[in-house]
Amino acid sequence: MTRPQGPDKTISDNEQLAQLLVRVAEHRDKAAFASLFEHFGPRIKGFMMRKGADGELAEDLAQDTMITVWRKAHMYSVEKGSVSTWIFTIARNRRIDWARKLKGMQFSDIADLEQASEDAGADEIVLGQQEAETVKAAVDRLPEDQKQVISMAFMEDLTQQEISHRLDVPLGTVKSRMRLAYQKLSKSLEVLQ
Amino acid sequence: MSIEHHLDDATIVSFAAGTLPTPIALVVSAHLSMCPQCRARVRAAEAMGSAVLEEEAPVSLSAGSVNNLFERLEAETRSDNKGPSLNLSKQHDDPILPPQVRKALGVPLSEIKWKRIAKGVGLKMIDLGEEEKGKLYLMKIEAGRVLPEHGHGGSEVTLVLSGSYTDRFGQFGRGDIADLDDHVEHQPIVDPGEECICLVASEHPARFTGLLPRIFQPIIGI
Repeated sequence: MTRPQGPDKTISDNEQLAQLLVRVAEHRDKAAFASLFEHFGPRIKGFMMRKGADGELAEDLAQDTMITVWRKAHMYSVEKGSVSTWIFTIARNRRIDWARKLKGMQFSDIADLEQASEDAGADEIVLGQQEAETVKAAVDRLPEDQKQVISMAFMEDLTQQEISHRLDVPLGTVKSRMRLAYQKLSKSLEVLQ
Repeated sequence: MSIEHHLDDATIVSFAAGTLPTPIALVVSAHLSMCPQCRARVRAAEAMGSAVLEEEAPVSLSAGSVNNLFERLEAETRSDNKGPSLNLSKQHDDPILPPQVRKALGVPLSEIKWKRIAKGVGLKMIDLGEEEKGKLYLMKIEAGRVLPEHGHGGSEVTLVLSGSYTDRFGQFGRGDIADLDDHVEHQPIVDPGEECICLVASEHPARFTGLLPRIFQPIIGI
């Protein structure tokens, strides 16, 4: 099942958002930062609330996310994917680390891991400007059973074990659906390179 | 030596979704800090997650939200504080322990008090300070030692930090990760010449197949 969507809108939005982020990075532009917050703040808040945070905490985490965006804006580059991917990844990592309640034990952020790595800067570039669109199309094309496990993992935060219980299928089936979904996605990204 | 053994695709997806049990997530994160290939794979999986999340229904922010944000930003700029997020800096610079492991452990490798659990085998449990559905520990095994054949009740990941071992899946050296499915059985043998230090996380207790190891298991505590 594919959802109706406006493909052109996605591209121009991405470009505008990228320009705003560049202004934040290069000029510490607060107006651009406020525009980013207006765009992403309500979405991040919605995301946090569906994950169980109350309104106040959700807003707090949305602000946390944006402060991180301010701090790390210079680390963004189009090679790292669309602005939305980048910011949602930060939001997701904020939430994961918050849920773990392990103060000072933040280890979800790939950019941090790259910095800590023995060969920092050596990361292969896999994602380009068209990435958001391509990934979205690939996800839409997934068979229903694969899309279901992906959405249960990312939207409902279920572990592989929990998905297996929920769907009443063996753990191995959940894993193989995840693998198939990931492999289709990475094939579609290879085409871009 | 380059890394030969990588993460399972399903593990990549679950790490990106943030749904791995904490001990396993920490071992995966340690592998990621050594493996650019798997980092690129996590980035691809994150993009998949974001494609799903972009359909998120927005919820209006409260009236003072923008002001609040800018107050926090002011405070941030004034204190010129980089915040707690970059805790993985190379401040400890341990040649063997990745920073997040060094941090969880609280002491450098040289100060670990190993618990001898069998001849030639030392164990150090790492306490993550909360109730967890799994365990995290370091193992130090002397050169040439053969471990009992065993399987796993749940997922288990083993990251080699120094030395190497060989089992039916091949040779595992620094940075290699064994990301095993449940029900897989294996018998690791540490390669001659150097002791092997591994970081292991498991979701459920490993089950040993022979009678003797089964008896030892409660003692070993893994």
